[in-house]
Amino acid sequence: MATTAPPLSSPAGIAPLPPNPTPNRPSSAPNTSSSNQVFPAQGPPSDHVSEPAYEFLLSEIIQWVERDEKRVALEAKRVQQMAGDKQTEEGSTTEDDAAAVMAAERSAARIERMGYDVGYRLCERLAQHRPLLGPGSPSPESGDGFGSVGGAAGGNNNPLVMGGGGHHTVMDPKTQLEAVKFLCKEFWTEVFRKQIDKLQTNHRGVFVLKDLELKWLRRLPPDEESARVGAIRILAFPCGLIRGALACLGLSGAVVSCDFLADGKSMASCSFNIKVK
Amino acid sequence: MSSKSSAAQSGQALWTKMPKANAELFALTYGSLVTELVRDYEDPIEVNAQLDRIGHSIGVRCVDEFLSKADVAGMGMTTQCQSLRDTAEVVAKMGFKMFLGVQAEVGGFSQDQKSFSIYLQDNPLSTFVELPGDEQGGSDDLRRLKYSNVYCGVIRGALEQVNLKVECNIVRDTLKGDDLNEIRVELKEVLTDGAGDDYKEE
Repeated sequence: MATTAPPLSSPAGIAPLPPNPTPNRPSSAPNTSSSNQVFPAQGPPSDHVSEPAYEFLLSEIIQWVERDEKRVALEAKRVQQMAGDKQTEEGSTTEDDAAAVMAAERSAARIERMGYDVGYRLCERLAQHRPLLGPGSPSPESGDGFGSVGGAAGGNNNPLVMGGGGHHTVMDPKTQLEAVKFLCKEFWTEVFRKQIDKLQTNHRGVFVLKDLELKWLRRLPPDEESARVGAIRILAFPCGLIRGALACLGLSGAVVSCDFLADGKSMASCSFNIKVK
Repeated sequence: MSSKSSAAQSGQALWTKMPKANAELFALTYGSLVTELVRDYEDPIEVNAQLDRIGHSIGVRCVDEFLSKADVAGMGMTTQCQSLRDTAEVVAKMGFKMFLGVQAEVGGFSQDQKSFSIYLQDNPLSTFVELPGDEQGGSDDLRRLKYSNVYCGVIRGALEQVNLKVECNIVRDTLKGDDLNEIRVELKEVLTDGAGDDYKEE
Protein backbone atom coordinates (compact mmCIF):
# COMPACT_ATOMS: atom_id res chain seq x y z
CA MET A 1 0.00 0.00 0.00
CA ALA A 2 1.04 3.55 -0.61
CA THR A 3 1.08 4.34 3.08
CA THR A 4 4.31 2.52 3.55
CA ALA A 5 5.88 4.34 0.67
CA PRO A 6 8.36 6.66 2.45
CA PRO A 7 10.87 4.07 3.58
CA LEU A 8 10.47 2.27 0.29
CA SER A 9 10.86 5.10 -2.11
CA SER A 10 13.86 6.64 -0.46
CA PRO A 11 16.71 5.20 -2.44
CA ALA A 12 18.84 4.72 0.63
CA GLY A 13 16.23 2.58 2.29
CA ILE A 14 15.99 0.10 -0.51
CA ALA A 15 18.53 -2.53 -0.89
CA PRO A 16 17.65 -3.79 -4.30
CA LEU A 17 18.00 -7.50 -4.12
CA PRO A 18 20.13 -9.18 -6.62
CA PRO A 19 17.55 -9.29 -9.35
CA ASN A 20 16.83 -12.92 -9.65
CA PRO A 21 15.43 -13.51 -13.10
CA THR A 22 17.34 -15.37 -15.73
CA PRO A 23 20.65 -16.32 -14.16
CA ASN A 24 19.05 -18.30 -11.39
CA ARG A 25 16.53 -19.98 -13.52
CA PRO A 26 18.56 -22.98 -14.55
CA SER A 27 19.40 -23.69 -10.97
CA SER A 28 15.88 -23.60 -9.73
CA ALA A 29 14.34 -25.57 -12.55
CA PRO A 30 16.22 -28.80 -11.87
CA ASN A 31 15.31 -28.44 -8.24
CA THR A 32 11.64 -28.49 -8.90
CA SER A 33 11.84 -31.42 -11.25
CA SER A 34 13.89 -33.44 -8.85
CA SER A 35 11.44 -32.80 -6.05
CA ASN A 36 8.71 -34.13 -8.27
CA GLN A 37 10.64 -37.27 -8.86
CA VAL A 38 10.86 -37.98 -5.18
CA PHE A 39 7.22 -38.78 -4.88
CA PRO A 40 6.06 -39.98 -8.24
CA ALA A 41 3.38 -42.14 -6.72
CA GLN A 42 1.48 -39.23 -5.18
CA GLY A 43 1.56 -36.92 -8.09
CA PRO A 44 -0.52 -37.35 -11.19
CA PRO A 45 1.12 -39.25 -14.01
CA SER A 46 1.72 -36.04 -15.86
CA ASP A 47 2.61 -33.20 -13.59
CA HIS A 48 1.13 -30.70 -15.94
CA VAL A 49 -2.17 -29.86 -17.47
CA SER A 50 -2.61 -27.44 -20.31
CA GLU A 51 -2.58 -23.77 -19.58
CA PRO A 52 -5.93 -23.07 -21.24
CA ALA A 53 -7.53 -25.75 -19.08
CA TYR A 54 -6.32 -23.94 -16.00
CA GLU A 55 -7.20 -20.49 -17.23
CA PHE A 56 -10.69 -21.54 -18.27
CA LEU A 57 -11.22 -23.08 -14.88
CA LEU A 58 -9.99 -20.02 -13.04
CA SER A 59 -12.08 -17.58 -15.01
CA GLU A 60 -15.17 -19.73 -14.58
CA ILE A 61 -14.53 -19.90 -10.86
CA ILE A 62 -14.35 -16.13 -10.68
CA GLN A 63 -17.53 -15.86 -12.70
CA TRP A 64 -19.28 -18.35 -10.52
CA VAL A 65 -18.31 -16.60 -7.32
CA GLU A 66 -19.73 -13.37 -8.62
CA ARG A 67 -22.93 -14.96 -9.79
CA ASP A 68 -23.24 -16.60 -6.44
CA GLU A 69 -22.67 -13.43 -4.50
CA LYS A 70 -25.29 -11.68 -6.59
CA ARG A 71 -27.69 -14.47 -5.81
CA VAL A 72 -26.95 -14.15 -2.11
CA ALA A 73 -27.37 -10.39 -2.25
CA LEU A 74 -30.70 -10.69 -4.04
CA GLU A 75 -31.94 -13.18 -1.55
CA ALA A 76 -30.88 -10.99 1.34
CA LYS A 77 -32.67 -8.07 -0.24
CA ARG A 78 -35.83 -10.05 -0.69
CA VAL A 79 -35.77 -11.14 2.90
CA GLN A 80 -35.20 -7.57 3.97
CA GLN A 81 -38.09 -6.33 1.88
CA MET A 82 -40.38 -8.94 3.28
CA ALA A 83 -39.39 -8.07 6.79
CA GLY A 84 -39.70 -4.33 6.74
CA ASP A 85 -41.01 -3.22 3.36
CA LYS A 86 -42.17 0.23 2.36
CA GLN A 87 -39.92 2.37 4.47
CA THR A 88 -37.00 1.87 2.10
CA GLU A 89 -38.87 2.94 -1.01
CA GLU A 90 -37.16 6.21 -1.87
CA GLY A 91 -33.57 5.35 -1.05
CA SER A 92 -33.63 2.17 -3.06
CA THR A 93 -31.28 3.13 -5.89
CA THR A 94 -28.45 4.15 -3.62
CA GLU A 95 -29.13 1.04 -1.63
CA ASP A 96 -28.85 -1.04 -4.77
CA ASP A 97 -25.52 0.54 -5.53
CA ALA A 98 -24.31 -0.14 -2.05
CA ALA A 99 -25.48 -3.70 -2.34
CA ALA A 100 -23.64 -4.14 -5.64
CA VAL A 101 -20.46 -2.79 -4.12
CA MET A 102 -20.90 -5.08 -1.17
CA ALA A 103 -21.41 -8.06 -3.45
CA ALA A 104 -18.27 -7.19 -5.39
CA GLU A 105 -16.28 -6.86 -2.20
CA ARG A 106 -17.58 -10.09 -0.88
CA SER A 107 -16.76 -11.98 -4.03
CA ALA A 108 -13.26 -10.51 -4.07
CA ALA A 109 -12.79 -11.62 -0.49
CA ARG A 110 -14.03 -15.05 -1.37
CA ILE A 111 -11.73 -15.43 -4.35
CA GLU A 112 -8.90 -14.24 -2.20
CA ARG A 113 -9.75 -16.83 0.40
CA MET A 114 -9.78 -19.55 -2.21
CA GLY A 115 -6.41 -18.33 -3.39
CA TYR A 116 -5.18 -18.50 0.17
CA ASP A 117 -6.19 -22.14 0.47
CA VAL A 118 -4.57 -23.05 -2.80
CA GLY A 119 -1.43 -21.07 -2.06
CA TYR A 120 -1.02 -22.57 1.36
CA ARG A 121 -1.35 -26.12 0.13
CA LEU A 122 0.73 -25.72 -2.95
CA CYS A 123 3.49 -24.08 -0.96
CA GLU A 124 3.37 -26.91 1.52
CA ARG A 125 3.86 -29.35 -1.31
CA LEU A 126 6.75 -27.38 -2.73
CA ALA A 127 8.53 -26.84 0.54
CA GLN A 128 8.02 -30.36 1.76
CA HIS A 129 11.24 -31.81 0.49
CA ARG A 130 13.47 -28.86 1.07
CA PRO A 131 15.64 -27.86 3.95
CA LEU A 132 13.89 -25.36 6.14
CA LEU A 133 14.51 -21.71 5.65
CA GLY A 134 17.03 -19.75 7.56
CA PRO A 135 20.56 -20.56 8.53
CA GLY A 136 20.61 -24.00 10.08
CA SER A 137 17.06 -24.05 11.29
CA PRO A 138 16.14 -27.24 13.06
CA SER A 139 14.21 -29.44 10.74
CA PRO A 140 12.12 -32.10 12.41
CA GLU A 141 10.82 -33.32 9.10
CA SER A 142 13.80 -33.58 6.81
CA GLY A 143 15.61 -36.84 6.34
CA ASP A 144 18.59 -36.09 8.54
CA GLY A 145 16.28 -34.28 10.88
CA PHE A 146 16.58 -36.06 14.16
CA GLY A 147 20.28 -35.71 14.45
CA SER A 148 20.28 -32.05 13.64
CA VAL A 149 17.42 -31.28 15.97
CA GLY A 150 19.41 -32.55 18.87
CA GLY A 151 22.39 -30.57 17.81
CA ALA A 152 20.38 -27.51 17.09
CA ALA A 153 18.78 -27.33 20.50
CA GLY A 154 21.99 -26.22 22.07
CA GLY A 155 23.08 -24.18 19.11
CA ASN A 156 22.36 -20.66 18.12
CA ASN A 157 19.41 -21.43 15.90
CA ASN A 158 17.11 -18.85 17.22
CA PRO A 159 15.16 -17.98 14.10
CA LEU A 160 12.74 -20.80 14.45
CA VAL A 161 10.79 -21.27 11.29
CA MET A 162 8.07 -23.78 11.41
CA GLY A 163 6.49 -24.95 8.25
CA GLY A 164 3.02 -25.04 9.69
CA GLY A 165 2.57 -21.31 9.87
CA GLY A 166 0.45 -19.55 12.41
CA HIS A 167 3.10 -19.89 15.07
CA HIS A 168 3.99 -16.93 17.14
CA THR A 169 7.65 -17.24 16.55
CA VAL A 170 9.24 -14.03 15.51
CA MET A 171 11.07 -14.39 12.30
CA ASP A 172 14.20 -12.39 11.82
CA PRO A 173 14.30 -10.18 8.75
CA LYS A 174 16.86 -12.33 7.03
CA THR A 175 14.72 -15.41 7.22
CA GLN A 176 11.70 -13.39 6.19
CA LEU A 177 13.59 -12.38 3.14
CA GLU A 178 14.49 -15.99 2.43
CA ALA A 179 10.83 -16.90 2.65
CA VAL A 180 9.83 -14.16 0.26
CA LYS A 181 12.60 -15.16 -2.11
CA PHE A 182 11.33 -18.70 -2.08
CA LEU A 183 7.94 -17.30 -2.96
CA CYS A 184 9.35 -15.22 -5.80
CA LYS A 185 11.41 -17.99 -7.29
CA GLU A 186 10.17 -21.47 -6.65
CA PHE A 187 6.55 -20.79 -5.89
CA TRP A 188 6.07 -18.27 -8.66
CA THR A 189 7.78 -20.54 -11.14
CA GLU A 190 5.41 -23.35 -10.30
CA VAL A 191 2.40 -21.15 -10.75
CA PHE A 192 3.41 -18.90 -13.61
CA ARG A 193 6.42 -20.66 -15.12
CA LYS A 194 8.48 -17.57 -14.54
CA GLN A 195 9.96 -15.80 -11.58
CA ILE A 196 8.90 -12.50 -10.15
CA ASP A 197 10.69 -9.85 -12.16
CA LYS A 198 11.64 -7.57 -9.35
CA LEU A 199 11.69 -7.75 -5.60
CA GLN A 200 12.25 -4.80 -3.34
CA THR A 201 12.23 -4.60 0.41
CA ASN A 202 12.90 -2.12 3.15
CA HIS A 203 14.13 -4.93 5.42
CA ARG A 204 11.42 -4.04 7.88
CA GLY A 205 8.70 -6.29 6.71
CA VAL A 206 7.64 -4.51 3.54
CA PHE A 207 8.16 -6.24 0.25
CA VAL A 208 7.19 -5.16 -3.22
CA LEU A 209 6.99 -7.85 -5.86
CA LYS A 210 6.75 -6.77 -9.45
CA ASP A 211 5.67 -9.00 -12.25
CA LEU A 212 5.90 -7.30 -15.59
CA GLU A 213 3.78 -9.84 -17.37
CA LEU A 214 1.32 -11.72 -15.29
CA LYS A 215 0.01 -14.55 -17.41
CA TRP A 216 -3.56 -14.35 -16.31
CA LEU A 217 -3.85 -10.70 -17.27
CA ARG A 218 -2.11 -10.64 -20.56
CA ARG A 219 -5.25 -11.00 -22.66
CA LEU A 220 -6.89 -7.92 -21.25
CA PRO A 221 -6.86 -4.85 -23.43
CA PRO A 222 -4.95 -1.86 -22.08
CA ASP A 223 -6.55 1.46 -21.27
CA GLU A 224 -10.02 0.24 -20.76
CA GLU A 225 -11.99 0.68 -17.63
CA SER A 226 -13.72 -2.66 -17.97
CA ALA A 227 -10.40 -4.42 -18.37
CA ARG A 228 -9.18 -2.75 -15.25
CA VAL A 229 -12.17 -3.95 -13.31
CA GLY A 230 -11.69 -7.43 -14.68
CA ALA A 231 -8.04 -7.42 -13.81
CA ILE A 232 -8.74 -6.39 -10.25
CA ARG A 233 -11.13 -9.29 -9.93
CA ILE A 234 -8.55 -11.73 -11.22
CA LEU A 235 -5.80 -10.29 -9.05
CA ALA A 236 -7.63 -11.19 -5.88
CA PHE A 237 -6.65 -14.76 -6.57
CA PRO A 238 -2.87 -14.33 -6.79
CA CYS A 239 -3.05 -12.02 -3.77
CA GLY A 240 -4.58 -14.90 -1.92
CA LEU A 241 -1.98 -17.27 -3.30
CA ILE A 242 0.78 -15.07 -1.94
CA ARG A 243 -0.82 -14.71 1.45
CA GLY A 244 -1.41 -18.43 1.68
CA ALA A 245 2.11 -19.30 0.62
CA LEU A 246 3.58 -16.87 3.14
CA ALA A 247 1.39 -18.22 5.90
CA CYS A 248 2.65 -21.67 5.07
CA LEU A 249 6.22 -20.43 5.29
CA GLY A 250 5.58 -19.04 8.74
CA LEU A 251 4.80 -15.45 7.83
CA SER A 252 1.20 -15.47 8.82
CA GLY A 253 -0.78 -12.31 9.07
CA ALA A 254 0.79 -10.72 6.06
CA VAL A 255 -1.23 -8.10 4.28
CA VAL A 256 -1.08 -8.31 0.53
CA SER A 257 -2.40 -5.74 -1.87
CA CYS A 258 -1.83 -5.20 -5.53
CA ASP A 259 -1.43 -2.37 -7.98
CA PHE A 260 -1.02 -1.97 -11.66
CA LEU A 261 2.14 -0.61 -13.08
CA ALA A 262 0.63 1.72 -15.56
CA ASP A 263 2.73 1.44 -18.65
CA GLY A 264 -0.16 2.03 -21.01
CA LYS A 265 0.76 -0.95 -23.12
CA SER A 266 -0.75 -3.79 -21.26
CA MET A 267 -2.67 -4.61 -18.13
CA ALA A 268 -0.39 -7.48 -17.37
CA SER A 269 2.26 -5.74 -15.36
CA CYS A 270 1.39 -5.41 -11.75
CA SER A 271 2.92 -5.29 -8.35
CA PHE A 272 2.09 -7.04 -5.13
CA ASN A 273 2.78 -5.25 -1.93
CA ILE A 274 3.35 -7.33 1.12
CA LYS A 275 3.35 -5.99 4.62
CA VAL A 276 4.40 -8.46 7.25
CA LYS A 277 3.38 -7.81 10.79
CA MET B 1 -10.57 -40.01 -38.29
CA SER B 2 -9.52 -43.07 -40.13
CA SER B 3 -7.83 -45.22 -37.57
CA LYS B 4 -7.91 -45.35 -33.82
CA SER B 5 -4.26 -44.67 -33.38
CA SER B 6 -4.31 -41.51 -35.42
CA ALA B 7 -6.53 -39.77 -32.90
CA ALA B 8 -4.13 -40.72 -30.16
CA GLN B 9 -1.18 -39.52 -32.18
CA SER B 10 -2.85 -36.23 -32.96
CA GLY B 11 -3.71 -35.90 -29.32
CA GLN B 12 -0.10 -36.40 -28.37
CA ALA B 13 1.00 -33.89 -30.99
CA LEU B 14 -1.47 -31.35 -29.66
CA TRP B 15 -0.41 -31.94 -26.09
CA THR B 16 3.23 -31.30 -26.81
CA LYS B 17 2.31 -27.97 -28.35
CA MET B 18 0.18 -26.77 -25.50
CA PRO B 19 1.62 -24.37 -22.98
CA LYS B 20 1.54 -26.06 -19.62
CA ALA B 21 0.34 -25.27 -16.15
CA ASN B 22 1.09 -27.00 -12.90
CA ALA B 23 -1.19 -29.97 -12.34
CA GLU B 24 -1.12 -29.63 -8.56
CA LEU B 25 -2.19 -26.03 -8.82
CA PHE B 26 -4.98 -27.18 -11.09
CA ALA B 27 -6.14 -29.90 -8.73
CA LEU B 28 -5.98 -27.60 -5.71
CA THR B 29 -7.83 -24.81 -7.45
CA TYR B 30 -10.59 -27.13 -8.51
CA GLY B 31 -10.65 -28.47 -4.99
CA SER B 32 -11.17 -25.02 -3.57
CA LEU B 33 -14.09 -24.55 -5.93
CA VAL B 34 -15.75 -27.77 -4.84
CA THR B 35 -15.12 -26.85 -1.22
CA GLU B 36 -16.84 -23.52 -1.73
CA LEU B 37 -19.76 -25.20 -3.44
CA VAL B 38 -20.18 -27.76 -0.72
CA ARG B 39 -20.04 -25.03 1.88
CA ASP B 40 -22.57 -23.03 -0.06
CA TYR B 41 -25.18 -25.55 -1.02
CA GLU B 42 -26.15 -28.13 1.48
CA ASP B 43 -27.53 -30.41 -1.15
CA PRO B 44 -24.83 -32.33 -3.05
CA ILE B 45 -27.21 -32.71 -5.96
CA GLU B 46 -27.19 -28.95 -6.32
CA VAL B 47 -23.40 -28.95 -6.11
CA ASN B 48 -23.30 -31.45 -8.95
CA ALA B 49 -25.61 -29.23 -10.98
CA GLN B 50 -23.45 -26.18 -10.40
CA LEU B 51 -20.32 -28.08 -11.38
CA ASP B 52 -22.05 -29.21 -14.52
CA ARG B 53 -23.02 -25.64 -15.31
CA ILE B 54 -19.51 -24.36 -14.75
CA GLY B 55 -18.21 -27.18 -16.90
CA HIS B 56 -20.56 -26.23 -19.67
CA SER B 57 -19.08 -22.75 -19.94
CA ILE B 58 -15.61 -24.25 -19.93
CA GLY B 59 -16.54 -26.74 -22.61
CA VAL B 60 -17.83 -24.03 -24.89
CA ARG B 61 -14.44 -22.33 -24.72
CA CYS B 62 -12.54 -25.57 -25.04
CA VAL B 63 -14.01 -26.18 -28.48
CA ASP B 64 -12.68 -22.90 -29.77
CA GLU B 65 -9.29 -23.66 -28.38
CA PHE B 66 -9.41 -27.15 -29.82
CA LEU B 67 -10.43 -26.07 -33.29
CA SER B 68 -7.83 -23.38 -33.51
CA LYS B 69 -5.01 -25.50 -32.13
CA ALA B 70 -5.94 -28.67 -34.00
CA ASP B 71 -5.68 -26.68 -37.18
CA VAL B 72 -2.30 -25.35 -36.20
CA ALA B 73 -1.11 -28.84 -35.48
CA GLY B 74 -1.54 -29.58 -39.17
CA MET B 75 -4.52 -31.84 -38.92
CA GLY B 76 -6.82 -29.55 -40.76
CA MET B 77 -10.53 -29.83 -40.63
CA THR B 78 -10.70 -32.24 -43.51
CA THR B 79 -10.89 -35.12 -41.14
CA GLN B 80 -14.46 -34.69 -40.08
CA CYS B 81 -16.12 -37.03 -37.73
CA GLN B 82 -18.36 -39.38 -39.66
CA SER B 83 -20.04 -41.05 -36.76
CA LEU B 84 -20.43 -40.79 -33.04
CA ARG B 85 -17.64 -43.33 -32.81
CA ASP B 86 -15.27 -40.83 -34.40
CA THR B 87 -16.53 -38.11 -32.12
CA ALA B 88 -15.93 -40.24 -29.10
CA GLU B 89 -12.39 -40.95 -30.21
CA VAL B 90 -11.67 -37.28 -30.70
CA VAL B 91 -13.12 -36.29 -27.34
CA ALA B 92 -11.27 -38.96 -25.45
CA LYS B 93 -7.96 -39.12 -27.22
CA MET B 94 -7.55 -35.59 -28.43
CA GLY B 95 -9.71 -33.50 -26.12
CA PHE B 96 -8.67 -35.02 -22.83
CA LYS B 97 -5.09 -35.37 -23.95
CA MET B 98 -4.80 -31.83 -25.22
CA PHE B 99 -6.25 -30.15 -22.16
CA LEU B 100 -5.32 -32.42 -19.32
CA GLY B 101 -2.44 -34.46 -20.63
CA VAL B 102 -4.17 -37.69 -19.84
CA GLN B 103 -5.50 -40.12 -22.34
CA ALA B 104 -8.97 -41.47 -22.03
CA GLU B 105 -10.31 -44.61 -23.61
CA VAL B 106 -13.58 -45.15 -25.38
CA GLY B 107 -15.84 -48.13 -25.19
CA GLY B 108 -19.18 -49.52 -24.21
CA PHE B 109 -21.10 -48.45 -27.29
CA SER B 110 -24.75 -49.18 -27.07
CA GLN B 111 -26.60 -51.19 -29.70
CA ASP B 112 -27.98 -48.13 -31.43
CA GLN B 113 -24.56 -46.46 -31.36
CA LYS B 114 -26.01 -43.53 -29.53
CA SER B 115 -24.20 -43.77 -26.27
CA PHE B 116 -20.73 -44.64 -25.20
CA SER B 117 -18.40 -44.47 -22.26
CA ILE B 118 -15.22 -42.57 -21.70
CA TYR B 119 -12.85 -44.35 -19.37
CA LEU B 120 -10.36 -42.31 -17.46
CA GLN B 121 -7.62 -44.07 -15.59
CA ASP B 122 -6.04 -41.00 -14.08
CA ASN B 123 -8.13 -38.11 -13.01
CA PRO B 124 -6.09 -34.92 -12.64
CA LEU B 125 -8.90 -33.27 -10.73
CA SER B 126 -8.88 -35.69 -7.85
CA THR B 127 -5.16 -35.87 -7.12
CA PHE B 128 -5.43 -34.87 -3.50
CA VAL B 129 -8.99 -35.83 -2.86
CA GLU B 130 -10.52 -38.26 -0.46
CA LEU B 131 -14.22 -38.34 0.04
CA PRO B 132 -15.62 -39.40 3.36
CA GLY B 133 -16.44 -43.06 3.14
CA ASP B 134 -19.27 -45.09 4.61
CA GLU B 135 -17.48 -45.90 7.81
CA GLN B 136 -16.97 -42.25 8.73
CA GLY B 137 -20.67 -41.65 8.74
CA GLY B 138 -22.06 -38.26 9.55
CA SER B 139 -21.71 -36.57 6.22
CA ASP B 140 -23.45 -39.32 4.31
CA ASP B 141 -24.80 -36.69 1.98
CA LEU B 142 -21.39 -36.20 0.48
CA ARG B 143 -21.59 -39.63 -1.03
CA ARG B 144 -23.99 -38.24 -3.54
CA LEU B 145 -21.45 -35.64 -4.53
CA LYS B 146 -19.95 -36.21 -7.94
CA TYR B 147 -16.63 -34.60 -7.37
CA SER B 148 -15.53 -34.53 -10.98
CA ASN B 149 -18.89 -33.61 -12.38
CA VAL B 150 -17.33 -30.69 -14.17
CA TYR B 151 -16.25 -33.16 -16.85
CA CYS B 152 -19.86 -33.84 -17.71
CA GLY B 153 -20.48 -30.18 -18.23
CA VAL B 154 -17.34 -29.77 -20.29
CA ILE B 155 -18.23 -32.61 -22.64
CA ARG B 156 -21.80 -31.41 -22.88
CA GLY B 157 -20.76 -27.84 -23.59
CA ALA B 158 -18.11 -28.81 -26.08
CA LEU B 159 -20.29 -31.18 -28.08
CA GLU B 160 -23.14 -28.72 -28.04
CA GLN B 161 -20.92 -26.33 -29.93
CA VAL B 162 -20.57 -28.88 -32.69
CA ASN B 163 -24.29 -29.50 -32.79
CA LEU B 164 -24.44 -32.61 -30.72
CA LYS B 165 -26.77 -32.49 -27.78
CA VAL B 166 -25.63 -35.04 -25.29
CA GLU B 167 -26.24 -36.04 -21.71
CA CYS B 168 -23.33 -37.05 -19.54
CA ASN B 169 -23.12 -38.89 -16.31
CA ILE B 170 -20.34 -40.11 -14.13
CA VAL B 171 -21.14 -43.75 -13.52
CA ARG B 172 -17.91 -44.93 -11.99
CA ASP B 173 -15.57 -42.92 -9.85
CA THR B 174 -12.25 -43.91 -8.34
CA LEU B 175 -13.04 -41.62 -5.42
CA LYS B 176 -15.88 -43.93 -4.56
CA GLY B 177 -13.82 -47.04 -4.72
CA ASP B 178 -14.29 -47.97 -8.35
CA ASP B 179 -11.21 -49.06 -10.19
CA LEU B 180 -11.52 -46.41 -12.85
CA ASN B 181 -13.56 -43.41 -13.84
CA GLU B 182 -16.30 -43.86 -16.35
CA ILE B 183 -18.28 -41.08 -17.94
CA ARG B 184 -21.33 -42.20 -19.82
CA VAL B 185 -22.21 -40.01 -22.79
CA GLU B 186 -25.54 -40.32 -24.48
CA LEU B 187 -26.46 -38.62 -27.71
CA LYS B 188 -29.87 -37.03 -27.49
CA GLU B 189 -30.17 -35.06 -30.64
CA VAL B 190 -28.19 -33.78 -33.56
CA LEU B 191 -28.92 -30.09 -33.74
CA THR B 192 -29.20 -28.19 -36.95
CA ASP B 193 -27.37 -24.98 -37.42
CA GLY B 194 -29.70 -22.49 -35.87
CA ALA B 195 -28.12 -19.30 -37.03
CA GLY B 196 -28.54 -20.16 -40.72
CA ASP B 197 -32.12 -19.04 -41.07
CA ASP B 198 -31.64 -15.74 -39.33
CA TYR B 199 -29.05 -14.56 -41.76
CA LYS B 200 -30.59 -15.87 -44.95
CA GLU B 201 -32.78 -12.97 -45.86
CA GLU B 202 -30.20 -10.92 -47.64
